[in-house]
Amino acid sequence: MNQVAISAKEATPAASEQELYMQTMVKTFRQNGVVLFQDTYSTEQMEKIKRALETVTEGSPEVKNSSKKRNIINLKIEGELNSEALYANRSVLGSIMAILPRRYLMLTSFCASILDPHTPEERINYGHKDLFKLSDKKHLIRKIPPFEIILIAALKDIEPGAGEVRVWPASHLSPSESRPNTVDQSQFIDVSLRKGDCILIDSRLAHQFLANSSSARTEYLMIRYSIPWFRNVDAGTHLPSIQLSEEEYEKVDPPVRFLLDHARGKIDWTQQTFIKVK
Amino acid sequence: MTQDHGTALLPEIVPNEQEKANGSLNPDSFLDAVNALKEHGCLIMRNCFDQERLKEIHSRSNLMYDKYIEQDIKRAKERAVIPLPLATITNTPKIYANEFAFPVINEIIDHNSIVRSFYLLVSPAGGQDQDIHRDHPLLFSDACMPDIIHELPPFDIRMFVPLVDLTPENGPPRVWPKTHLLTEAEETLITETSGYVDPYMQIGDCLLIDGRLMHKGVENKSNQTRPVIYFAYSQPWFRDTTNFYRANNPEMTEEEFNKVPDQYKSLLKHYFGESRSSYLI
Repeated sequence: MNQVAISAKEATPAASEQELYMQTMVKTFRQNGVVLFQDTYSTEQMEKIKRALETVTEGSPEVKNSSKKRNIINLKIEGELNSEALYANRSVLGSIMAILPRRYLMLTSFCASILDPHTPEERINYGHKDLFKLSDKKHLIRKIPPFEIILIAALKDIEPGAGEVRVWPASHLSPSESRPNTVDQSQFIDVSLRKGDCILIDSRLAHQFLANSSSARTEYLMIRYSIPWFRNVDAGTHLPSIQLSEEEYEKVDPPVRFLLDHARGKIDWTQQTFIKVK
Repeated sequence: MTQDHGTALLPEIVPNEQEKANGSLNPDSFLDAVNALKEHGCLIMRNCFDQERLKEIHSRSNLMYDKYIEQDIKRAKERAVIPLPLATITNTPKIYANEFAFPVINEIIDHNSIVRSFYLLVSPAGGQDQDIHRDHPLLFSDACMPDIIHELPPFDIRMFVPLVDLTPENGPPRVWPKTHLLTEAEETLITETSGYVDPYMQIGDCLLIDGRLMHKGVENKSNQTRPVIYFAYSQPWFRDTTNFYRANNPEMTEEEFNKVPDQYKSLLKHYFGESRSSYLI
């Protein structure tokens, strides 16, 4: 994973190096479809989510009684979870904005992914198929820029065998129609995230959560960001929508409210400058 | 008949008697239509819709328009954009999946198209010229993909079906053919005097345009309103974030959806099927 790893220290370079850093990061991401950010979230931030998850799962018989499967919990953006440090983390938000080429974006889901003890590995996932079939223009597929990014952050150190994330770098550049056949099964990377690390993956990238063979639960924070014209219809009902009350919306820091305006119906789409990067 | 300005060309397809009898274009005409729409970003299809049905829709839409104006008299001087329900007289494949126009649209959109919007557009008597515009910005900026913008396939096709004849007096939508493949930088070079076409149309005709094509509504110099019904077909992943953002879903009840023939349900499945929650974000 070295070629796609960036540490939080690198993520805040001197101003004179900022442009070069962003260019390198964007190029890395577009080539690989995945990039690792180390030490992005603090221990305290991860603990906040764990506490919130415990509250949610205690009240959810479905999750409490489930076993041997991965559960996706839609997290309400409220209380401790209504934190810019979580959904608009400064170590990665600038990079996400640089990657998504329209320079404006929205946060479309805010979830936790839970792997109970002894959960088997899941099938290989693709967050979304190609926008176009392009059967007669395959060369274009490699050039279509990213339009949706999935952020996956570890709430604890993920040891081997405890449900790491497996990714197939550059698999987003092959046609989705033939991906199960064209993904080289041996060309994967198993990412053992440390607590507070996160990866950004292109939604078209082949990825999967491996088996959790340990005796403890493994939890991840998962956030999706996309360009406004894109809606992920492939994910269907598996993609929960944002839960944010008006009261909680008012607490969101104004500079990053643009990420959540759509969840409260506050977007005036005709004013496209509303979400331009400052 | 169209009014060409400069070297611009707007292709036309006119179903012949045999095609009218068969209810479909023959393979050569179909291919011509598809290629013309891809190349020029616009296409007129003549005499494709049932005139009597359109007259009935016109009659009912007048009532809707009158109610719309009653709510605020100031609206009488502005262009009206009124969502139309897909119900009763409009809930028929003859309208939302016209046997001549829809196969062309669906071919262009990877056989994956949905009905994203259905509107009544009314230009009032004395309505003003619009500025030249694209209905939606390009998906990606020039900087991200400068070498492929000219090759990017269509993903959003709009269909105008006039409810009255469009004449030099009441003004058709003016189009600038082939501008759908221009980059953002090239787009700024298009002016009022660049080669355009004014497609005059009769009831029963329709105009198809690529959502990226540059166009404008022309002044209505007549003393009558100019109503047009308007469909947007697109890939299901596309959401209009500019001109028609208020209704990225057609208005339709579940009861009306159940009347849609199975072969056309996919056009509306995004709204009634499993994808509904994410579609409505």
